[in-house]
This record gives sequence, C-alpha cells and structure tokens, in this order.
Amino acid sequence: MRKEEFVQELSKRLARLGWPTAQIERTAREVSDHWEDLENEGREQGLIPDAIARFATERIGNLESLVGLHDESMRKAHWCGRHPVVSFVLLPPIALLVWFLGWGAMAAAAGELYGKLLGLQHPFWSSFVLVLITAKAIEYTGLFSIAALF
Amino acid sequence: MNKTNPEFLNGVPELLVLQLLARREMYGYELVKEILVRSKAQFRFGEGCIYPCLHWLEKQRLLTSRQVEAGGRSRLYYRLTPRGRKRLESLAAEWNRVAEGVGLILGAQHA
Repeated sequence: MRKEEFVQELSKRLARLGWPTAQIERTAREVSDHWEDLENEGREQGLIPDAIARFATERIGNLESLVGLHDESMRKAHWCGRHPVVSFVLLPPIALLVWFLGWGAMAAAAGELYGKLLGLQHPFWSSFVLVLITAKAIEYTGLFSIAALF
Repeated sequence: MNKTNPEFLNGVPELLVLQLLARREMYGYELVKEILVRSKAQFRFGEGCIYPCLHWLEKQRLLTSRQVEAGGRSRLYYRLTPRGRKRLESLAAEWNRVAEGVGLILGAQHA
C-alpha cells in the first residue's frame, strides 16, 4: 500500500467512527510523517523503491489494528466510553425520572403556595401537578416518537 | 505485516513511553526508534500504534505536545508533564514489584 492510500483510508475510517476533523487531520499528519521517516530509513539502507514501500508498510503496521487502537484510545479517554452501559442504558431513565420528579416537586410547591395565597382549602396542588406531569409526558412521548422515526 | 503485539498494549507501552520522554522530548518516529534500540528490538509492533498511545496519554494530561519546525518539516514533539512524572514513578514501582516477584518464582524453579 502507498502512503497516500494508507493515510486516506485511515482518515476515512476514523471519520466513519465519528472522530472530530481536527483529530483526524492530526493523526493523519503524524502517520504520514512517520511513513516518510520510514521511507528515508529504507533509502539509507539502500533499498529499491518497491522494497522501500514494502518496508514502510510492514513497519507502520496493520490498518485494521491501528483504527481499532485509535478508537479504543478515544473511547478510553472519556468517562462515557469507559462506562457505556451506565452512560447509555442506566443513566438516561434515571435522569428522566429525576427530571420528572424535579418538575413534580416544583409544581407541588408552586401549587401549594398559590393555594395558600388564594386561601384555598382544597388540596389544589394535586390537580396542578397532574396537569403538569401529563403535559410533560405528552411532550416527551412526542419527542421519543420523532426520535424513533430515525 | 506486523500485527500489534498484545503484550505491548497492556500497560507496558505507557511505562516505556513515559520513561523515554522523562529524559527528553521526542516525536513519534524518534520514540519508536529509541524503544527498538534500547530494547535491542525485543518488541515487535506496528509502529503506527505509538500514536493512539501518545494521544491517550496526552488526554490524561500525562504528556503535552508542541509543534516544532525543523529541516523543512513540522514535527509534533511530546514531553512529560509533572502529572506524567508521578504516574511514571508509580508505574515503575509497580513494574519493579511484579518483576521481582516473577524473578523470585523463576529463580526458585531454577534452584
């Protein structure tokens, strides 16, 4: 494989993994520089052009392994990548529940205060909370339905 | 084609890279050459795998990098941070402990 092909393929694969452009460019530049150094080393050893290309390809390593290692290092660098089950399976429903409870608590407090200010005897807030939670449920059901389309 | 050596990936590259960069700043190719020369080519690995390792160490703030223009080429040099130096001390201590334990077992078998 030639340097350009290798670097282009590496960049393409990293882009497919969702890497930021700046990070892809940096990696491509470093690997490309390394490749050039290997070619120079091959030339110093007196290799012919074809052998130089083979020498560099051999030394730089397998493209699949390299993409895998880059991806692993990127994932390991973030908390979400190190704990995918917690981040993407356990935390979202807990966060949603906390979100609803937070809204519920705020609505209850507001309803209670409003009821007291108006001098209402009836537990006015309960109906207020119910309406609010229903509205939120409809809102989120709508959001999830749109997300499910994709 | 060189496959990535699995042993090279289990904490050893981190230790080697930190140790070599503790002496002076280096760029990727230079670092690989240094590893091969100093280890008398005991490790076989695809040289490209040095970059994920360097990038990860940099993200952990154990290394820092800077662009240097030299001989018409632009190189990314890596150097150890104070945090990296602490990590190196702890990794080296751990490695010495393991090596000593293994040495004792191997020594006992040969005795």
